[in-house]
Amino acid sequence: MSTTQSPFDPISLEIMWSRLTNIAEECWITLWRTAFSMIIGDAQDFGCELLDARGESLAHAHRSMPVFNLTLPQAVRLLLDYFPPETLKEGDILITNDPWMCAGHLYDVAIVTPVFRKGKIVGLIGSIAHCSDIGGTLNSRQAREVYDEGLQIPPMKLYRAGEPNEDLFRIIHKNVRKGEMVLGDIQAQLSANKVGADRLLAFMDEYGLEDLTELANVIQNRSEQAMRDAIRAIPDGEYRSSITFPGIEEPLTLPVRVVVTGDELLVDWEGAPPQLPYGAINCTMSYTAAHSVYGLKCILSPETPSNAGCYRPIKVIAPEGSILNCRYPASVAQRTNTGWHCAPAIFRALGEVIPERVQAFTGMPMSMTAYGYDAERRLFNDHLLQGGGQGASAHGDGKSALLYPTSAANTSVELFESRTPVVIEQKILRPDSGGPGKHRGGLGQVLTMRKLYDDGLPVQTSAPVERSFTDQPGLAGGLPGGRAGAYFSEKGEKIDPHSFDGPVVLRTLDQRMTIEIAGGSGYGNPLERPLEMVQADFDEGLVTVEGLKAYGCALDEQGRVVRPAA
Amino acid sequence: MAMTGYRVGIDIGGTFTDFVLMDAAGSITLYKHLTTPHDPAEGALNGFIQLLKLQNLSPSDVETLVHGTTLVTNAIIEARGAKTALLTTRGFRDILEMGREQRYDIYDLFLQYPEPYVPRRWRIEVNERMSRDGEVFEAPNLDEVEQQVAALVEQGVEAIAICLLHSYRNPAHERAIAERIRSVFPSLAISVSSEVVPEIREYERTSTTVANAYVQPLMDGYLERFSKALAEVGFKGQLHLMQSSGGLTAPDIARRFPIRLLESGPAGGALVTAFMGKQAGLDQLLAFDMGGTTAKACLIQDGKIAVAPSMEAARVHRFKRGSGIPIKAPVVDMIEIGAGGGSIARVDSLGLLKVGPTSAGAMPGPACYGRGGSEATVTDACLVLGYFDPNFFLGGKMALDLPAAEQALARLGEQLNMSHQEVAWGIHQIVCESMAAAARVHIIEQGRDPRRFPLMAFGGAGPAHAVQVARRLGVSEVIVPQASGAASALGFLVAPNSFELVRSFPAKLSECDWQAVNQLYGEMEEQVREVLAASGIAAEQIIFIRRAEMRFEGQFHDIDVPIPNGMLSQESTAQIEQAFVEEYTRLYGVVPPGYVSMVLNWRLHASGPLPIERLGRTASKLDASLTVEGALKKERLAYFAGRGYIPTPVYDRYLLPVGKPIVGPAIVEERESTTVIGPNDTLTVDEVGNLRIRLA
Repeated sequence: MSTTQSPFDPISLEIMWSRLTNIAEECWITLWRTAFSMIIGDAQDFGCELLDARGESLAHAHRSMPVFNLTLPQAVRLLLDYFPPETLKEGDILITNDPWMCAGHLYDVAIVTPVFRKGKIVGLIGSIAHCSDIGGTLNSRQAREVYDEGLQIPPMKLYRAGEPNEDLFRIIHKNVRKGEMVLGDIQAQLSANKVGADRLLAFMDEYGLEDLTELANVIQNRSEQAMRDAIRAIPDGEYRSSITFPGIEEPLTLPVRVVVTGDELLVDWEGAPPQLPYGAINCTMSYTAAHSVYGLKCILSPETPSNAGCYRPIKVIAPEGSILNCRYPASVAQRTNTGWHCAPAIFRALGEVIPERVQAFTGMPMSMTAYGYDAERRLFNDHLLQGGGQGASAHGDGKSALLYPTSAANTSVELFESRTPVVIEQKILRPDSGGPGKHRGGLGQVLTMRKLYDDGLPVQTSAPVERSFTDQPGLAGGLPGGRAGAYFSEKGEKIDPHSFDGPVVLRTLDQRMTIEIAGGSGYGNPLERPLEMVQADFDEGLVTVEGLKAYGCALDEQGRVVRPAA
Repeated sequence: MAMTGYRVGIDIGGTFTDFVLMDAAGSITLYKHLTTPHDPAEGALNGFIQLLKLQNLSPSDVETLVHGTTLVTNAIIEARGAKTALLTTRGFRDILEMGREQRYDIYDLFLQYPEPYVPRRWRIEVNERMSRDGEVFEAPNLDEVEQQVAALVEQGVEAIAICLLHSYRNPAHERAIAERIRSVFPSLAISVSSEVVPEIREYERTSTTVANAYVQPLMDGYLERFSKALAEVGFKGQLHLMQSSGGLTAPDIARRFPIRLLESGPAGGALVTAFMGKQAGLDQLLAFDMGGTTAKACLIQDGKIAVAPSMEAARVHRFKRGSGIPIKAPVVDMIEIGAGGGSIARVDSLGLLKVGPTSAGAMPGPACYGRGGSEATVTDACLVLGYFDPNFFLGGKMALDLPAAEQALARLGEQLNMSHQEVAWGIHQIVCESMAAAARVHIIEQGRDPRRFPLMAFGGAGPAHAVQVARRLGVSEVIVPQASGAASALGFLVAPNSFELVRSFPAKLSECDWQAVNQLYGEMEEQVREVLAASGIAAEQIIFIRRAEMRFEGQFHDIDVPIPNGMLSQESTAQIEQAFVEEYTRLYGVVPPGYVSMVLNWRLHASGPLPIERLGRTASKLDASLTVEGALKKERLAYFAGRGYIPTPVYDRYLLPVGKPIVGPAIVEERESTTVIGPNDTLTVDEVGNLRIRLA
């Protein structure tokens, strides 16, 4: 039996495949446990992946950031174009943060370790992590070019044959805020890659594999087949939709055309607005493609382990020079403001044929930063990342407060306060922000920050004023969730978010920065929501008297929720 | 009472309640009784009396009774706790519901999360606020709080959790509120976060305190009934409870912190592994317990069970990290995976054979149980491979249906274009690999080399799979102890009384206020002495172990570092720094240059003396007349890698002689389990009756 079988019968394959995932998982745990920044160590904004010798992905860790899993393979292939494999030596480690090659903005640093066996590259271990700072302006809204946004690291060697490239380490240290934190995170990436490389070699020894080519082919082909089957199940045709989001000066609309032809699928962003001359919300093509295919993976083939094969039947195109395929050197730091709208647009388009697979718009995460020096001249710079309300679906209500489309976790208020001299006065759900529907969207949340000490020292915080300020309709008759908002207030008086521009500085204890994170949109007609569910939402304070109207409900004399006949 | 030396362990499980009686010499008597779900105290008491009858004893002869229970676990999983309210800081009532806001499966758009144990209308905000340094911004108005609580009581609330921001730093507000509530509403169960888990991170502290409050009334009632019933039958000894950490505690403490009893069963299993390991001269071990639905693994390092600071309970998806409720309470550090004897095999959409995590359970059970189950399971595979005897399952109490197993496997074989035997071997390999993979990750997370940990196998299915799992881990030895069927209850009897406390007091090591740390340890030691005194342990018998969670400034994850006992001072810095650097290097290879080390939490572990040094030997094991030939029951065909079906001798465990090596292939049968030994592996029975298998 086992002796007569090829190495890749269904059983050996299952075992070897899960072993590869295991290796990526070990990398992830190492990176997480040794990281120095809140964005990586607490919020987990990073990913780890194992790739074959061609740079095609084989497996990623379970909690890897989706977009990193999907952009790393391109970065690896371009790194290998730059440093042809035959020129690489054992102990070389490659690095880049080029937004066009990699994950779309300079913060995301890719570090790639080629794994050698008997003098030949048999695979690569890569990680991308969102570093806490990359230099450049803190006022992304004013950024005109990528040059304004910080340090660009072109394809380089971070290690040469086992020796650190000290010049590069020094340049990075000098060019970023809290250099020791950023370099600490890079050390964490290096450790993770090392663990992965060691495990991969041990795995190959155990199974007597000279290279991964054959195994990679089988794995990728099977996944490709599963994706093709899923696509074939959708009727051939063109499915169109669009999504509108705030843009910088005015709302912008992304039209999408999804074309299903047999077992292949095309996502065409023809008609996307031109790239913006400032404001940093431009997406590189790699980023647009990643967000488009990630959404498709979730709705078409969610159970198949992800690897290069899954994405072969899918093609994504966007006009060059548009906001979804910007040209160098456009500003890109806040590209999530645009790119996070890709999947919801695709869901709307495909919602007409596969309504049970898609999800209504999810309120996008927002983060408040606190940056400055305390009385002892110690620098602080941390992110308070929090989620919006999940969109409802055919399966039920959305969860209140969920980070999507990232794989991140929120940051702890107590931990944040202990690292930065601010007080978070509230972190609480926003009643009525869940988009009404037969299934209700999850609620968004509101957070308010003030300074801790009355010492006159400035605390600079971000005001993500451009995010989700528009209504996002639900699906199948569901209504929009509560919009996002952000405002500065002084002595209790609100100041219009658009009346100020750029970062907000808190100087006195009377000043507050508040962010309101959007709720999720609803699914289905809210008039069809069962009365007892509306009553329960009302009892729990998730829906107010005012909010009952959307459900066609009101309170009777006893204070019970009723739905008078229309 | 007279010093009789009799001690009894009782482990209430989902199906069976296990009883172990141990005399002063360490000899044991086992008994099993069906669990009585309507009132577990009833079955526990009846079984207790039955057990004693076996040795002609009465309850008044028993000095100590150690008790573990799944009561807390079940209440948490089945959401059957008390009507619970939460008092929290203004602006933060939704922390409990929001959780970490993380998606635990990045491709699943429709993730489900556990319902919070407190509905939003009972999450009440108190007008108060403490700063990060424990300064009072705003003190609570206790009259106002009293009115808020009165309204809750009116609505039927039975338990209250109090969790305010930064209370780990200054518990004054929580204490004042708790005191007022206790004086006005003495019947309410109250859990205070600064007592339950005084650690930074508001969500995990809240979820733990709420869970504690949620099960408090239940535990309270149960222990009251059980103690009373014990007294009525004449028991005058001491009652202890097993905590998830492997330490025993007094009923009063269990009633205050019931959440600490969440995993008492697995803790017993780990303890018995450590104990048996010591007897066998091994202090590095992997406890491997495989039952009907899951397998659990836990590391024994330096003879001690590994204890983790937290776990996840009530997962929506049992085996998906992040889908449950975090419980911050010391717990035996184990992994659980969905691979047991009942785990079902299927072919997935990629045409691959998958095993578990769905289980056929006891009903309908594996196809071979003949109770209507038609799906192929891990047990069916073992049967077809010749590992199990269809006529000697559970010691012959249950006949297995071989043709039914073959048919179930053949159905999968059709989809895979394989014979039913090939599918059986595939299932066996996959289930062993997934256990090995999970164990490997778990061991590596501890910074250890998986190959250095011999496996000690328990549970109905453990001994049949242990050798294969060990082989995949690169481990060279497997041990199958005696009495593996009642391992947990036995574990209860080898545990010392213990208690653990922790305080958050973050500081850079070089700038640490040692006077404050000394005071903190002084307070914790005082508190622990009181706790252990309740179990009859004198202050001078207590062994203190201090540890601290340390990291480099700016990092988020800690490593555990030993801290010297006694008065600490500036001079202690170098010693602690060195210990930190050594541990960090061991775990992650290199220490990043130029970073500042910090201490976050200061821990104190206190334990009383060990109750027993070694187990007594069972008489038959010493019988010099036993021979290998005499233990041979028969031969049957069993399947092994690279060999196919080969004639394999089957031995009766109870008749095997000590110290006579047997070269595999071999199968050893006992009532509760079957051990499978591969070709060229060597089996020896050691002096204490363990099966010791050395892998080829």
